Amino acid sequence: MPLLVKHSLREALRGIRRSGWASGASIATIAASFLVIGAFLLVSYNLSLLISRWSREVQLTVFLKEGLRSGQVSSLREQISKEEAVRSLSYISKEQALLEFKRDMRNQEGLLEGLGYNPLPASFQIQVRERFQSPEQLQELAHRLRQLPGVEDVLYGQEWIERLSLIRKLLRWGGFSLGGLLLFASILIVANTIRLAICRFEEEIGLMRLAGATWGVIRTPFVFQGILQGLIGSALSLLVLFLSFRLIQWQLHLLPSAVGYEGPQFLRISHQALALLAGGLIGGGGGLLSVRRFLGP
Amino acid sequence: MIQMIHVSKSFGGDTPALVDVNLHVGKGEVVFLTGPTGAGKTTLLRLLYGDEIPTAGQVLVEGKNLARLSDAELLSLRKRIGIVFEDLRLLRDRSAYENVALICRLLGHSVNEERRAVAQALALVDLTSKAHLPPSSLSGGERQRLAIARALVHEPLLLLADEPTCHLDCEQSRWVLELLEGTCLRGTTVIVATQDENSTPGRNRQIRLRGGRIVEDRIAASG
Repeated sequence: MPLLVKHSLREALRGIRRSGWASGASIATIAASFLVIGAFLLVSYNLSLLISRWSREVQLTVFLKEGLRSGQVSSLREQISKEEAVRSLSYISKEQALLEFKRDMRNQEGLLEGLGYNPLPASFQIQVRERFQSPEQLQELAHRLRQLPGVEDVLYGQEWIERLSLIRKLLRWGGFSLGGLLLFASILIVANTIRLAICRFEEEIGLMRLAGATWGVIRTPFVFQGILQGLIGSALSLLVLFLSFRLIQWQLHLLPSAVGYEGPQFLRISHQALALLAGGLIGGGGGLLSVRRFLGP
Repeated sequence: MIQMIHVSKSFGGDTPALVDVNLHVGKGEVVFLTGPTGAGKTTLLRLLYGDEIPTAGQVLVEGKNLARLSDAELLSLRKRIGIVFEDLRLLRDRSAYENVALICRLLGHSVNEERRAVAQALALVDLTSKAHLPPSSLSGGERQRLAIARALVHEPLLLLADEPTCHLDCEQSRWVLELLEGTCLRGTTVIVATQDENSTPGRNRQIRLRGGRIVEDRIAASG
C-alpha cells in the first residue's frame, strides 16, 4: 500500500506538471471559491466577536412608573433578581437619574430646569449573564420584565444587536450559497482537468493495462492529482486571505494596539484546517468523478 | 506452457484472422512465428496476452483458459508476460530508465529492486549510457532495444515480441534475435513474430502462418 501511495503521489505531481494551464486553472478556481467563502466567513466571524464583546456590556434599563412606594420598588427588585438571566442590578432613583443627566449634559443643564419638576423616571440597570445575551433571549427577558407591575418600559440595545446578528446571518448564508456554487463549479473544473489528463495519458493507461495494472493502480494517481489541486488551491486562498486581512488591518489602523482590544481576528486554526480538508475533498471528488466515468471496465 | 486448441478469430470481416489453429509450446521453448503481413501473427500474440478472446476454440496459458479468467486473474497473468509491441509503445515524456522502471513500479518492486532490475535490463540491451534520455532522443534501433529491455525487466515467464527487428539493420536484427533467444536460458518461453523467415537464428522452432492458418511447423536449420 505505501508503494501504491508513493507511486500515485509521484504520478500525480507529474500529472499536475504536465497538465500545465489546465491544472493552474483548476487550482485558481478552487482558490477563488475558497477566497470568497473565506472572506465571508472572516467578516462574519469578526462580527460574531464584536457582537459577543458588545453583548457582554449589554444592560437592560427597566424604567419604573411614577409614584411607586419603596415597598413596591423592593418587591420589583426581588422579582427581577429572581430572573436567571440577571447577573446584577442597581437601582437609580429619580434624583440620581437627574444628577447623571446633568453630569452627562454638562452644558445643557438648563434643558430640564424650565420644567420645574424632575421628569426622569427611576430605573433598574440590569446586567445580563453571558449565556442569556442572544437577541432572542434579551427580547424575551424584556418582554417578561415589561409585564411586571410598576414597570413603565424596558430598553436595551436591541435594535443594533439584532441588526448585526441579521447581517452576520446574511453574510454566512451569502458566503455559503455563493461559495457553494463556486465550489460546485470547482468540482466540475477539476473533473474536467482530470478528464483531459486521462485523455493525454490514454496510451500509457493502455500500456499499463497490458502490463497487468489494476484499475485501482491506474485510477489512484488521477484522484491524487485532484486532491493535490484542491489542497494547493485552498492553501493558496488561505494565504491570500491572510495577507489581505493583514493589509486591511494595517491600512484601517485596526491593529490591537490601536483599537484597545484584541482587534479583528483571522480565522481560527481549526477553520483553516477545515478549509484545507475541504479543498482536498473537493479536488478528490472532482478526480473521482472523472475516473469513475472515464477510466474503468 | 501454451496451448491453442482449434482457435479461430474473426473481426467480423470476410477473412478471418485465424482459422483452426492448434499449437503447443513448452516451457523455455523459443518459437518464431513467420509469415507475411496479415498472416495472423499479431492476432495470435494478442490472444496469448488476453487482449483478444477467440471466436472459437480455447487459448490456455499455464493451463488456464484465458477466456474464463476473471479480470484480476488475467492482470496477474499479464504481470508475468513481457511484451514487445510492434509499435513499441514507449512513453514519450519519460526517460529510458522511467520507461523500464514503470513495469517494476506496477509490480510493487522496492526502489532498490527497481534500480537493480532496470540497470540490468538496460545493460542487457546496451543502453546504460542513455538511461536518462527520452525515447525521442534515441535512434530507431535504440528505441527497439529499449522496448525489449522493458519487456525483460521483470524476467517474465513468457516473452512475446511482435516484429522486434523491423526498425533494425541486418546486424542489429541478428543481435536482437539472439538476445531474445538467449532469454530462454532463464526458463522464459519466447515467441517472436517476424516477417523475415531467413533471419531466425539457431535451430529453433519456426511456425509459418498464411491466411490465418498454420502452414508449417518445423525446427529450422541452424541460421
